[in-house]
Amino acid sequence: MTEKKPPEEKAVPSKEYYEKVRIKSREALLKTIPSILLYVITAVLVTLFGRLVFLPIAGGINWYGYPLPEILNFIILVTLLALVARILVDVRRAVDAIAGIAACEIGAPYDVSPEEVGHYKTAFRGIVYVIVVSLAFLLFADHLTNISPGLSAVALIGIVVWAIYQIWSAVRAVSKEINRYASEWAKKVR
Amino acid sequence: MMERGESEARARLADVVKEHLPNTFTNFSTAVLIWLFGVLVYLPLAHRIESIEVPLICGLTVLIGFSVFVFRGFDGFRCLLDAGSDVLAYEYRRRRKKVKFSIDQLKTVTRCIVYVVAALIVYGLYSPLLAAIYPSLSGLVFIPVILWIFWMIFKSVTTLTTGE
Repeated sequence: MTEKKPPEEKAVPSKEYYEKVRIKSREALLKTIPSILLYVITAVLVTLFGRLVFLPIAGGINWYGYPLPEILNFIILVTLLALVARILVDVRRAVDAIAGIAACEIGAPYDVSPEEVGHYKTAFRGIVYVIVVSLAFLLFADHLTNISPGLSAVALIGIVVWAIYQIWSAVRAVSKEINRYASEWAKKVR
Repeated sequence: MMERGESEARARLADVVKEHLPNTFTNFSTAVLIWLFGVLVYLPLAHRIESIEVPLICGLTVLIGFSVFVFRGFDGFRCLLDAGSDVLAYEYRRRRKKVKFSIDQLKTVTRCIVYVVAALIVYGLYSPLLAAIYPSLSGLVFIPVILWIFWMIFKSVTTLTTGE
């Protein structure tokens, strides 16, 4: 005898689940924001000191035959790279926390599934990454140009191609939701 | 009270929306985001690095990315424009009690208007990318666009005056 299975219902998390996620996300956000601010301020100070103090002082000096401004540029660049990598880690945590809070605000009254929240998170993360990397390039651009103008151009072209792919992935992540909303809208039009 | 033609047009729009809107929206929103980042962020950055070659390569990359998504969503967009303009024609007829034009004339005119507006928006989006490649390229493309707009206006006026 085979019994017919009832149709699977979409699992909707309880109110406690949303409350727990909200508290955790808020804590994570409160931890990451000061850290991001600290590293951003450090990166800006490194850039300003490098550009306005150290590089003008080093102008025309050679160190064992190598031009000192280029060596300083390289050191500043490596420092900035390390700082930006650290900022990206924190940004990832902050984005997840913001997406968690947003999901609870939307999800608790309207019963949004965790899968849907995951899609929004992926899309949001993709766009924020493009913005952060573009901002980071603003810090790097001059130092890269000082080392070699071609390096800066190649990096920018690489970022443009990567950004196009990232934007496409971000929009594709929410395509299921777009599909659902379009179906609902079509019912209203009729 | 809706007439039969209008309810058919609305049903067709609903079908087109259900079938084409998700794909068109996904492709167009990707294209718009690429345009926003490309034109507002990367092209000014490229101009800062160097004034000719880097903006040219960046402009071309953004143009290709933008065009791929615009063309991918184009078929659905055209179906949406057609179905939407038909509903608009019926809506216009319903709101205006005394209309001396037939529904076919109104359909042709609304379709022309919708196409012209869409073409102008698409040209507006392409213009800065074309200008980044070569300044006069944007103007060169604008001339056929303007000629096509004149042709669409001529078509609308002919339809309204002769009823063909």
